[in-house]
Amino acid sequence: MRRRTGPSSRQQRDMTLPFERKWLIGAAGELAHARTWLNETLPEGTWQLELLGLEEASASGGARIAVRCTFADEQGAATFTAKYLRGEAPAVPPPPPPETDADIAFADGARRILEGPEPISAGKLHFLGLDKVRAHFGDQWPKLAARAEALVRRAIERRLSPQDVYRKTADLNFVVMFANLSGREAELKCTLIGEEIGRMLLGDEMGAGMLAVKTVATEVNGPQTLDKLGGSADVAQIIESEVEVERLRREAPPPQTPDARTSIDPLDGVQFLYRPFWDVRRSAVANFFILPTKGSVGGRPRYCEGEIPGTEDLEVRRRLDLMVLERAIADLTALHHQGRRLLISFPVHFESISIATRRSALVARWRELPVECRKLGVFEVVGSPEGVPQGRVAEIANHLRMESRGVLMRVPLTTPTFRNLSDAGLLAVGTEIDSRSMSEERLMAALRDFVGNAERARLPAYLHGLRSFSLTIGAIGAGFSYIDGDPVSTTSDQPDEAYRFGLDDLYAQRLRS
Amino acid sequence: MGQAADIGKKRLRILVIEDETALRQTIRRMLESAGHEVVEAENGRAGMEAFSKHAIDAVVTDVIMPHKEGVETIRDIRLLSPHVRIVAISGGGRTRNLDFLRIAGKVGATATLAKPFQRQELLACVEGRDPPPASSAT
Repeated sequence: MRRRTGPSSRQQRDMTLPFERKWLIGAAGELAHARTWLNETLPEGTWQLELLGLEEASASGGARIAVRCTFADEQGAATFTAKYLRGEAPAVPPPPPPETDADIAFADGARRILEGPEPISAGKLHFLGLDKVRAHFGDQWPKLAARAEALVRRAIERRLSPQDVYRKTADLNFVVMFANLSGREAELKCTLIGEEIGRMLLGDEMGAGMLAVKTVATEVNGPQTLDKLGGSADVAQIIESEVEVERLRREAPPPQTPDARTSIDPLDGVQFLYRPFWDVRRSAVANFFILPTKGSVGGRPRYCEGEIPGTEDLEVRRRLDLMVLERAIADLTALHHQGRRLLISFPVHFESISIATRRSALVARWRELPVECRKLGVFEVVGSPEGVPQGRVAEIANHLRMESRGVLMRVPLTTPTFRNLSDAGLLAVGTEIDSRSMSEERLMAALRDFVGNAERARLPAYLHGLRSFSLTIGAIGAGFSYIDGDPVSTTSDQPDEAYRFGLDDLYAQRLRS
Repeated sequence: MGQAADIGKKRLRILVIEDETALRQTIRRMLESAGHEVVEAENGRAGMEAFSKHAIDAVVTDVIMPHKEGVETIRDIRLLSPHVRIVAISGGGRTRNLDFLRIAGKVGATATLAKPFQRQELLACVEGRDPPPASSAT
């Protein structure tokens, strides 16, 4: 076995037994060097190198990669320790000789791509669950692996252009280099190839839930990568390392959102977000909805409507409505001082305005705003009981719209008729997507029915809370006049500027992501 | 007796992606009557799966569908296969159908059809012929 020198001295750390060591490595190229050294120095299967994550940026600006190296035996760990602590000035290891013609072809093709024009991208397809599969099939594994590999190679080759190259880097692990795809396009192509491979192996005795195909892709800087190669290390390992760094970046845990502290007041810790409300017909966003939120779950804000314990209490809702009103007043005042004309819409519960005295108190506070500000506010009545008489709706709507831009009313998606809302003075009738209870197929049909009912009541329709792009398109096709949700635009902590936004912009945004 | 008129023409394997069952079956009958073979899928996600499993010569896809809509499906198919004919259809929604079809053309649809369309218009699109005069095809 050839002996090679190891990583540079600046990467040295105190080495202790037994059998495990953690490093911080400066860059993807050094990671490749480390792998090469271990490959050349220790027998296969007696060591394992694992990427742990990205550390904070070094002084040079690049993130450092935390790795863990474990050794199967004391001898391996000692060999590594001895080399490491000896402090030998490392020579940059020469590239290991290519093992096959395919490896030579990949190396040549990769260099050709790196020397060519941008964009250049690389991706990796790897299979999760291989250990389980190997254990399951035992002696049969080598034959099965060969068959799977043949299938996978055919799937990859079918989808590559003549200029692209690929190479196997480990059992059912492949690195692909694309000659003329952006990082996003490479990501998509790898995902599609990975999905195709996954489908091919499903139903095969190796599939059955044991294996999953994972892909990641990234843009590659040709000149920088060529510098790292410089005659050293395996080009496939360099490329693979670049992609691995990208994977680590994506898998780094998001910053922890501090949850609202426990309090006996359910409204303690409530914050406000703004959601752009897209006017589909006019292809513009000039209206921002205030969303009261508290804490988050799974990275998504928890909206007070229906998700926060305690807000089902009527008194809590009334207080919440006052908080929201105060926020709307503050926002409209600030926008007025800034000379910005934006509509601010905000929810108010039916219980807070259905009784004249309560409604008058709320409106009295609202009237403290200058009239030019009031005319940019939109009330959205939420939580009205089904079948509330038209006269009641008209009474509420007429009172509020005299003091504002207008009144919206939100009703459940499956409300069978809007006869009681017709000619009541509403701007529009709307609803909120609840994808927990319905399949997309049923939701699409329900959206069409909703718009149909709204049209019969001669009302435009609006829709909150879209999370799926296909449903967003379905909502537009169904005829909703106003929609909001993540596929349109994410929430923000301030109302944004008004901007033009049409169907082409929606698709451009989607197809870019 | 469409098949008699179509003798000599290449038999195509056509993937039809459409969530409305009745329409999907109508399109199937239109294509099979011309001697073509049809593979069906009820949304874009199932369509991608079918596209991977079969050697497809042409695709007919709706735009508005659950789970994965048509424009994105067209983009993905085009990325995997630069040469397959893709016909986008739309008109099941109440509004903006022509906008959807225009965008479908930009991401790689070879032809677009607004519903309702005639059998000959559909066949002309999938077979790569000029559509009959005064048609809704673009």
